[in-house]
Amino acid sequence: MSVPAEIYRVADLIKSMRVRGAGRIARTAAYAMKVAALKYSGNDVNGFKSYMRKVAQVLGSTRPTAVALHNALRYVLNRVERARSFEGAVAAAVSAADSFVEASLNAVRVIGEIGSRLIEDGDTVLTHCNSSAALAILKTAHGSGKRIKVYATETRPKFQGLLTYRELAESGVPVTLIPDSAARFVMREVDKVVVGADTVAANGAVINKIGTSLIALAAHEANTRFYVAAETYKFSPATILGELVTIEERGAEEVVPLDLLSRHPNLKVRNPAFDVTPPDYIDAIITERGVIPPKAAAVILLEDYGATLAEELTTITLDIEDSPA
Amino acid sequence: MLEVLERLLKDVGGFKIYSSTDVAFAVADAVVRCFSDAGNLSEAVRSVLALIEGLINTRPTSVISLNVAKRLVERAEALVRAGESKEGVAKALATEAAALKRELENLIAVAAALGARRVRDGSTIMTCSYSKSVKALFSRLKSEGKRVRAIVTESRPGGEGVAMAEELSDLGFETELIVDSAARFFMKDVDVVVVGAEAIAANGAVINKIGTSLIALAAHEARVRTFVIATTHKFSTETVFGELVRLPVVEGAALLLGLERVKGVSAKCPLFDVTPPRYIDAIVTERGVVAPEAALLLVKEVYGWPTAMDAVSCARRLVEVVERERPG
Repeated sequence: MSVPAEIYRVADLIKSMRVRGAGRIARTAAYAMKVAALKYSGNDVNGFKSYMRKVAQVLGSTRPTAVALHNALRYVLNRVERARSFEGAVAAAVSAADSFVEASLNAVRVIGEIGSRLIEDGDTVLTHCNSSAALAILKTAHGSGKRIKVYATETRPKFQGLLTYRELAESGVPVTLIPDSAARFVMREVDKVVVGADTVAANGAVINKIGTSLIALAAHEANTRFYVAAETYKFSPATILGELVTIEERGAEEVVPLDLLSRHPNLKVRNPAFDVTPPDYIDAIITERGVIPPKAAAVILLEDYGATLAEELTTITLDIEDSPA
Repeated sequence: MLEVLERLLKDVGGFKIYSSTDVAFAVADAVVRCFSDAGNLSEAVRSVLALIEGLINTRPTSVISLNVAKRLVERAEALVRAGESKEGVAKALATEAAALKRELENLIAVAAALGARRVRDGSTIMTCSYSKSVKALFSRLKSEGKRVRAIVTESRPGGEGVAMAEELSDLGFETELIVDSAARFFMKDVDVVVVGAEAIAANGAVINKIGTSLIALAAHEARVRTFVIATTHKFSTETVFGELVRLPVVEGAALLLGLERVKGVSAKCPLFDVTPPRYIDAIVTERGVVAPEAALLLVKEVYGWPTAMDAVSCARRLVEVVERERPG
């Protein structure tokens, strides 16, 4: 059976960034896996497994560098692969998708709770882009009676800062929008920076919305605390085996109208979606399993993926031993 | 106030005129118009005073505009004292303004020639905002046959970096436009950062478009050199006496988001920031390439010591002179 049209529609929503934010994308993809499983018309287990792999491939190709998305797909797919019967495989897909979504939402709540303890009454907090985990921290702190003020960067090119602004304003948090270029200007008034993450690498480097590393640098210069809120499924197991995180470059039309470029043949737009914040500029990563120093990211990875990583390491070792000297 | 002045101040405040040199040119023209459009001399000098006060309110950082205005006001005072008519003053000032513009263009070209010596063939240069001086540097590089690549930040709010990128690419340079946030991402590809200046304080701190200090910080982190290209007209004499450069901040989201999306959004839009001298390798002026901390020496050389009266005081004195010598 071919991949249903609904799945392509979901993939399109993710690709065009109508569904955005690493956590939201991961939950949407997990849910789409469940929908795809329930729509399968055959009844043989192997056909189902290869169909689910195709569905995961369609969903995964939308944002090839989004680790949370790929971890979500792998989470569901791994449980499908282990099933022996067709009914068991479908049930595994449904329950894995449900438990991923539930665990993800729960993780955001727990991060909100833990992270809010790091926020003090009277703090001014700066945030970048639109992260559900970072927002959970700010809203929980506000809800517990701490009087906080927030600066939200507008976050070019797609203005996700406006979503952050609206969400905080609706929750009654005093919030002011600033241009991205003003991050250093306001930093002397800022007590803490809280941002989300797209991916956390094994060495504790955080890949997040373009501009995050510039803000981290300005915070570092001003001795301002810099926190990253990240669910543990954003940690990238591949990086522990040395793989680099690829930074997605998006289209020029997000920055300027394309006819402007056609008038100037020597002019190009470079539009990287993410940048890398080195662990040295990060005071802590707030996960649903606690607050960790960024350089301890490998601890989380070994806990979650230890067995798989050991298998892959064995494969690499055997390959080397087999190859002629 | 004359309608022409109101329009000028609106264009300057709303970032329709980007480059501080262009603002200064517009101010020079406006001073001339004050005389040519006014009914009499007394009306003319009062609108000059209003213009300068308005300018200080809208763009207090524009030292070069104030210096230009001051020079024209001093010239006007000499003419009034010599018994020149309103029409005579207007005519003489028009000539003076044209000469002043030529002089500034020449000084920028000299600074650009000195700056070009610091740029090697094949370099990648990062810049921000719209600067006449930086553009002059690129023109100089072109005439020297140096091939360089430009990376320009769009420079919000205002977004005048887009116009800068268009013009540099039209000069024939490979140009890449990036969002302001991406400055650190691309810094590893950059050989030198060159920016213009709105004003330079006595300690060598550079006041320029918001975001400049972030770029300088990222360059400093990456051990990339940052040069500021600015003629000595931009050195702020007032900061010598401990006066802070007041940085205008626009409250409200109109400038940030455009009018259609602004509803109910509270925003803060600083227009300029201060780059500390420790992040600046050199200031390139028409009198030489100096360390920012040596700015004071140039101030002393150009403006004398102690420095002379500021533009508002000059304009007030002109009003007094006119009222005393030409009552009614």
